[in-house]
Amino acid sequence: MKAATFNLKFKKPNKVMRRNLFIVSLLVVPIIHFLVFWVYLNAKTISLAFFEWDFWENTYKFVGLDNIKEQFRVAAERPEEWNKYLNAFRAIPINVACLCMAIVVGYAFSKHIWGERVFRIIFYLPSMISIVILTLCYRYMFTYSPGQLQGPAAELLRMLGSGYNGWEVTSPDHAVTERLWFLVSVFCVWASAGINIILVSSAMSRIPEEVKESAKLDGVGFWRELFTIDIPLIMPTIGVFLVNSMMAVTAFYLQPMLILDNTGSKSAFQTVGWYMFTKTTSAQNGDMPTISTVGLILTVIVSTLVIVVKKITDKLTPDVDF
Amino acid sequence: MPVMKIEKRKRAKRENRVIMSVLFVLFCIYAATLLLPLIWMVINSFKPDNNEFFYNQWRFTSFSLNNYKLLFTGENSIMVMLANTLILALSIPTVSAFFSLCAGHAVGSFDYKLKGVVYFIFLMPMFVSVSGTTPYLYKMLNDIGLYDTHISLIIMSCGVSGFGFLMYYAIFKNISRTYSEAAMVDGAGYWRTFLQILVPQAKNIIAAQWVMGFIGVWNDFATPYLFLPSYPTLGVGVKNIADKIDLGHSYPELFANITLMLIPMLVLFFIFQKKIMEVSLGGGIKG
Repeated sequence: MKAATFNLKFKKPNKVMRRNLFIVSLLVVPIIHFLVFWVYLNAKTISLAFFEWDFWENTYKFVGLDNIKEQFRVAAERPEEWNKYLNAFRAIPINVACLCMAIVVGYAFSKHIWGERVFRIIFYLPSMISIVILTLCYRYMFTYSPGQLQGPAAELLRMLGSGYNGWEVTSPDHAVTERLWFLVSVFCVWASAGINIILVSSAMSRIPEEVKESAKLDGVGFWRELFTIDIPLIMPTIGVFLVNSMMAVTAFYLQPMLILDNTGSKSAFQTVGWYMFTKTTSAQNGDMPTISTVGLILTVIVSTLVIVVKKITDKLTPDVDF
Repeated sequence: MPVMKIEKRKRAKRENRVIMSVLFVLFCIYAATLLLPLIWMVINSFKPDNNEFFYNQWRFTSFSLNNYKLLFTGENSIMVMLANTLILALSIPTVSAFFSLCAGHAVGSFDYKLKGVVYFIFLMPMFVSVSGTTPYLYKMLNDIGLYDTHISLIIMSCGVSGFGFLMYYAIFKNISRTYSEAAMVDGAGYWRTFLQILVPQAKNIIAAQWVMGFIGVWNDFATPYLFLPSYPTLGVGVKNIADKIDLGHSYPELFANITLMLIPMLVLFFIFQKKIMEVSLGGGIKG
């Protein structure tokens, strides 16, 4: 009996130790990765917003909130400096448009529209294709350069008498800018609907059949059923989607950048993400604080929006489980 | 009263039919706008030169495989780009899946004091995104001498992907612990139990996630463009040709390049279509 207790006492710490060692070995790389590429990188980026590069001393000097004030001062003098922020926020209406389209399509799928299976596959197709290919394809479709490439979509627009004249921005006037932004927005919805449709229609397919059945017996119409039954019941999914759309603001740049790269008037189209992209390989030590400041301002605005949107959608979500 | 209700039901049914027909037509138009541009590019990849393409965009007036030959033999052979893309597309999803699995196992299968903290750590990047980190990341990689190497991109993906982690966490949490206990009684170590008993149970999800990762890296543009300039991948190569379209490269040549980049993805999609659509519930703007 004594020997057995001794054995147990002796064995237990050994076993726990082995288990703990195993857990540590599982976690060591992911945690180091997190510390380097998330904690360190973010902390360094944020902190640089409060420093200034001292060229003579070859080091960074703490300047408090001066960089942030400077950004606001420059923007007050030259309103076009705000463009990159405002343009980044265009991601939100675009995402909302994507969501609306996804809801209608997903709803039609849930009602088993004719050809549903084929549509599902075709609509998802863009998600499998590189953004470079999609943007180039779209760009060429709408290119209008007489004697050279006249894209089919551009020809169609001209045939309809719209006076469409391609991507070139000869003068940076407001109407031209907005027209090109509209085309970019159409691209975003056109190319990203598929994945959102899947998201919405899978949420709708979880709505229990009985709920729908009773509405059908009451003779509820197509749109009324959508607005009073489907949308409230998929509110959690819509909430996640809206929070994601807010976060997409920081990462919104590839679409305008790849479509409008050579249009001539960059400042009218640049987003914060695009600005970061161009700065990535060209930034000197002295540029880092400005980049960080721009990033920090956007991060603060976006985080606030995320919290607000989360609160609102939580309130709108009916308290049901199914 | 019941008569009114029946009337109402009939009306709703009629309304349904009309709306569904309108939607069907709209869906057909949208599907056409998705397919036609791709078909347009493929048709024109067989045109011998720009002129033939400019004036006969929708017709097969001449058929030439020259653009495809050029891609394999020219000075900017696609083979090098293909190799670069494959190195990344095969390794990145593999290491990412491995470490996500490790993290999922560590948090899902064991109970210990700091478990909550670890769980929180791996989900943080999903909820907090700081803008403007890439320039500093670029600097950091330069400082440690890893910039412009394949290995730097692989190291960057050794972390845990939030979505993958959540999925693996849920799987490991739900696998009955008697499996691993039985294996351990039979003398298997922790690693062996993990790799030979537990991981195979999640193999469908892992495969689907891996294929999605492969597609993502294959199609990626920004990361290799910024961090691997000396080793262009297919996406970067396509962009490079497009940028030089007036300087010696023709549209049909570009379209041939695009077609070759598209084909593997379309094949993968048609094989794994159902699985891919199941695991891609991430959402957001296509980017």
